Amino acid sequence: MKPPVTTVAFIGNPNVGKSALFNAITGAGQVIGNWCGKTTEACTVRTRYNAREFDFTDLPGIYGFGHSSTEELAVDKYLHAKTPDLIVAVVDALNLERNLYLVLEILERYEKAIIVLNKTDAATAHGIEINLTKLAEILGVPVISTVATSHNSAACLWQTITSSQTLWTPYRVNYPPDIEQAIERALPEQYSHPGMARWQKIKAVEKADEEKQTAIISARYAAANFITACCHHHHATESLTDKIDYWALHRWAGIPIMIAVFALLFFFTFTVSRPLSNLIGETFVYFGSAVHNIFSALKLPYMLTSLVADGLLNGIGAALGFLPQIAIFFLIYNIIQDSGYIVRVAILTDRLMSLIGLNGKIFIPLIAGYSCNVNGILASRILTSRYDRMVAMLASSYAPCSARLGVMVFMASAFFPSNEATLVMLCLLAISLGMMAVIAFLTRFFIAPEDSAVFMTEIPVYHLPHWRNLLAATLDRTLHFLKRIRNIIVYSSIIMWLLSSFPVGSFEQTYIARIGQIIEPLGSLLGLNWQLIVALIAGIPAKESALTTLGVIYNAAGSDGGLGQVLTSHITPLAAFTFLIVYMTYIPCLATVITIYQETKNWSVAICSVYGSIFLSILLGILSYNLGQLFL
Amino acid sequence: MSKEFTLDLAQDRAALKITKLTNNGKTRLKLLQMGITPGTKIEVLRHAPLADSLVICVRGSKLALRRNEAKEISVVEAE
Ligand SMILES: Nc1nc2c(ncn2[C@@H]2O[C@H](COP(=O)(O)OP(=O)(O)OP(=O)(O)O)[C@@H](O)[C@H]2O)c(=O)[nH]1
Ligand SMILES: [Mg+2]
Repeated sequence: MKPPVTTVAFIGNPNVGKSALFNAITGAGQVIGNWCGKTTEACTVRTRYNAREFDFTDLPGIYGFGHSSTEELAVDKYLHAKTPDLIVAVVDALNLERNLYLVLEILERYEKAIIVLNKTDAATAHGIEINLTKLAEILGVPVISTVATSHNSAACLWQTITSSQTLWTPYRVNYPPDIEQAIERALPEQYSHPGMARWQKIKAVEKADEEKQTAIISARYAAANFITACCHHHHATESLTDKIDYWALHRWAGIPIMIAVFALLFFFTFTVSRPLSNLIGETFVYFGSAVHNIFSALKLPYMLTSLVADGLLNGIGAALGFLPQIAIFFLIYNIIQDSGYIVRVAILTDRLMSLIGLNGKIFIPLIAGYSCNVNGILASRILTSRYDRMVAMLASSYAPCSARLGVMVFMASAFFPSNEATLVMLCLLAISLGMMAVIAFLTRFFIAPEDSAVFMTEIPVYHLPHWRNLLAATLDRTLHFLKRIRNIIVYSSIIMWLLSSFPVGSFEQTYIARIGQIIEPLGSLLGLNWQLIVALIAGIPAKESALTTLGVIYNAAGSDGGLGQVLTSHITPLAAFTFLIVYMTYIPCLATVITIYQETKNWSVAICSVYGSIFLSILLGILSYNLGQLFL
Repeated sequence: MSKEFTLDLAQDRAALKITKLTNNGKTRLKLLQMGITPGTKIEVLRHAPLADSLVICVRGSKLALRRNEAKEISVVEAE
């Protein structure tokens, strides 16, 4: 007979390394990073070990069993569905006392729990010593220590999980006499069977009376404090974290430092990636001419040559040119995030965000949105209130993503001398921030913001990001981008090529020119010529296509010279600025819209975001054009 | 016994003892769960930029809270 599957659940405070340990033991790819609340839902993976099967479940981080946050509700839902055979309580050795509170609550409910003392490397570095034998003796369950991010962390845990001689005598908290009496008497309707477990009675008392709840929680903390005193020793030193935070959270220097960090992020991304981007661009131009030569030597039809060289290679080359930007942006961004600085950013921006009625944590998805809107939307999972999350999702599509920034930087530098171009870019970024505030305001009409959204966060110690995690996270984003090229940009380049090559003959007769002439009236409202409008439309499936399209249209019209030169001679600076504004705001790309749907499971939100942004961008465009005409 | 005041009025580096929480519901539960229970000693590390949030040290871990959350925590100077 097949032995049954053993279910094992990982429970612990936020940011203690549950997911890192889970990944080590199952080989899964859960997101890990140095802030609280990355894991938002239960994730189960089946693993075999010595011919036995195990179902491991990674859960969101919680501070206790209650209903005070969405994480707690998610854990409650999982535990309620089926009691796991074994609990692995992951404990952060840097915060023993606070972590023990949850451990005591776990031991109150479950007989079989293993305590894993994690981050012991960092604890040692901070001068913390913990006596494991003593801790195991008091708690009455196995206690092991690990470093989840090292490669041998799984072995010790496996051994403890599969060991059969464990004695389970879990520690029981003693409550004051009046609480014990209340627990004895507790028999609320919802669990009216007489055999109700002690922990259910305790919960019932907690729920019924806030004074008693305080007394119960205080009693558990008193026990945690006592246990900590027995087996924990701390040689206090001023840690590196304190030194860094002195500046990072400095009353005056904090915000300038934060701005400098992000400026450096963009600066590095642009300067390091530009030569690489150029290299990729040149390689594709070279490929293109090689294809022209080879195909004509082989006497293949001209149309085929043109499709491959002018359509496909041109389009893919323009998009691949962004690859270095994306890879480098994510590498640096992941360092900022995994080092723990991102939590300080949330604290620093909380004031600014609360002025427009938002939670400081919203800054994280918005920043992620600057690399790629899809990331911004996925990152909004860290927000717990429904209103904040919705705003983060809708607003992050107004953050110009790296694809858009690339085109914007290119256009700005083509049209304006460099100091004006910088000003234009800063203006555009300020406008995008303004749009986010508008979105936050508008969303309030549909979803009521919850006042009770608690900001309070734990501040983790800094650590050097692990290179393996960094590479994995960066690779993941980069591959995601490559997939988009395969899925969207290849087709959109072919379509643009078809539209601009047929019917054969003069360019004014091609389909694209005809489409352009139809929408010219709308363009005149904004002061944009039809070529620019077509470029905007071509950018709908993927923003990168807009530039490719301008290239195809103007080159197809028979002009020569670099794209920048061609554009300057055809487009006025005012039109260029208006184009940039509309381009920055007009529509989230297809992938973004689809992700909004996937995250909200609600098509009307996704569709609203499309119409809303088209409407707002046309409004902004008209404004910019008319104001511009007044002043220029 | 020294005078009771709310945590948002505390100075940087002040060593304090929590006397009571004046809020209720989810926020209260969260504060309690994170170790902010009556009788606990805490230290105010600093007020963050623009003075809207403050960083405190409770039971060996550091927490950031907003001024309006701190308003609901009563404290006295720890002796
Ligand atoms: N120094 C050290 N860092 C660790 C260790 N284990 C995990 N970390 C780091 O701690 C941070 C949090 O790890 P996660 O696995 O994401 O934590 P989690 O408990 O799943 O967090 P949530 O999902 O947010 O509840 C990451 O930056 C890890 O790299 C460890 O043993 N030593
Ligand atoms: Mg996790």
